[in-house]
Amino acid sequence: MSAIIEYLFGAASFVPHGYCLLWRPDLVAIHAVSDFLIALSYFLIPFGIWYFARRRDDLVFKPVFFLFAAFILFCGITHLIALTTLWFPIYGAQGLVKAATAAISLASAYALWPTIPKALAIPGLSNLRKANEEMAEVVSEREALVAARTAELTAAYREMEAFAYSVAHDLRTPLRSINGFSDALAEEHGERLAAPGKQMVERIQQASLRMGKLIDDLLNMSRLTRTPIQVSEVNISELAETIIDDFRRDDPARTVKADIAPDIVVKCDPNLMRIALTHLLSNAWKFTAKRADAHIEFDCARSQGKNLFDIRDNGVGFDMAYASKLFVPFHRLHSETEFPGNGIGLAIAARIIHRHGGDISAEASLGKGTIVSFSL
Amino acid sequence: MINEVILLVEDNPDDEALAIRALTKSNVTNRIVVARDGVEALSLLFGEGDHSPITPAVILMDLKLPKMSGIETLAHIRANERTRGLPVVMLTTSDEEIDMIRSYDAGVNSYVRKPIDFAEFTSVTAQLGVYWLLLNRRPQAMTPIGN
Repeated sequence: MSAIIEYLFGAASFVPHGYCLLWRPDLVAIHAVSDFLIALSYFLIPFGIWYFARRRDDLVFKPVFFLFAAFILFCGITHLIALTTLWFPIYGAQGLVKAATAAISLASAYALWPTIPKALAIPGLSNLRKANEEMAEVVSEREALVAARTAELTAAYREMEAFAYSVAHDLRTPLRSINGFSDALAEEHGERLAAPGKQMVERIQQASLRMGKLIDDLLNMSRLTRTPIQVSEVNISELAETIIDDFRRDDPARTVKADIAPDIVVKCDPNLMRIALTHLLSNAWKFTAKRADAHIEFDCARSQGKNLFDIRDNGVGFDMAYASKLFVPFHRLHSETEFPGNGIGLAIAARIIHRHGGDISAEASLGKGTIVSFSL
Repeated sequence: MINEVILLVEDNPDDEALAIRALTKSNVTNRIVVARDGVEALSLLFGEGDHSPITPAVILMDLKLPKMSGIETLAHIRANERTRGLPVVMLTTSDEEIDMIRSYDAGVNSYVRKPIDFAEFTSVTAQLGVYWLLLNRRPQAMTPIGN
């Protein structure tokens, strides 16, 4: 033990460093003051680095910073010891501290070189500023694009409104003349018309009514897009029940079994949902008309935060080859004489489901039935 | 009441002929005065020039009229002390929500959409006739003069 102390601090066999300087006051002073100031600085710098590295959360290569702090601290200690050796020859301790400093210096140098390319890859302030400017430019370009698109959409929407308004007013007026004057023709000049002529007048009248119905459906359809959605909690089960009840009342001759899953509550626009469900259920009702054991089922399942609905019937179904045309307005898969309708129901239902952010699809097999599925 | 006039404001000659035919067919025998636009309707109602003003039992008015629209004309009728109480029925083609809202805002008494089916139209005019000429009551001061 005493041997170690002797080795570290033993002064017996050595002379202080001052002897080498021949105790010249100017030399001793310049060494002493310089070592002292260097040591002081080398103690203060790691403290600053340590403080900085601790406060900057986003600092990369933090261990390197701490390593450098330790390296500078040890350099400080070597200078402090050099200062001491001017008067006290503790060369053993000095050697040991120098060795430790050498080790930590080597470690710092070793850590530094692989860090440099990585540090170079980190964008500097000016790079960041440039990137920010470029980004701001892109953002403002996008904003201008969005504004232009919005203006375009608004204009298109206005045009559609004006178009619908004009259809509502102007397209029906001539139809009234066609129907009204056909009626007057049959009544006031009917005696001059033979039976086929009277039939033709009748056909003109029927056609004008059909066109009137088409215009109304077209307007109703566009109205669905023009009116804003107002969402509230809706009991879909009750809604479906009342719709089926209405069908039963209007068509008491039919026996239709209806299984509606109870207590389905969904957030949606109650008026629009009533329209959509009425069209979907009325299809199920209509296309099961030729069956004595007509059966309509209405189910709901939840999956990935969405409500998935199925309306199933055992009616005539349709050929899946035409499935893509099912939701096209005024497109029918059955003839008017086979089943009444003008092909707007599914298109309207689809538009309503889409406006709620949902999807709709249909699956069928000819003669066996149809499943219309939609999500909300 | 047989003498009371009906003011029909209609610019389309087809519609005018059909309305008169429907009214006649539904046994409304009142004299029908026709104005071709809003301005003409107002000059008949306010009696401009050497004409004395008419006070119809009911005004059947189209919405889309040249010069002055049905709603503007209605606003003028409502703004005038003598005519503000007159029953005005919008008899029109459209059932656009906005048209109905504007009509009621302007103080229309009734809003009726003309059906395409003439038989239906006749039944509508018959009901209008029964209601506005027979059932509906108005104070003495507002009773129309036969002219």
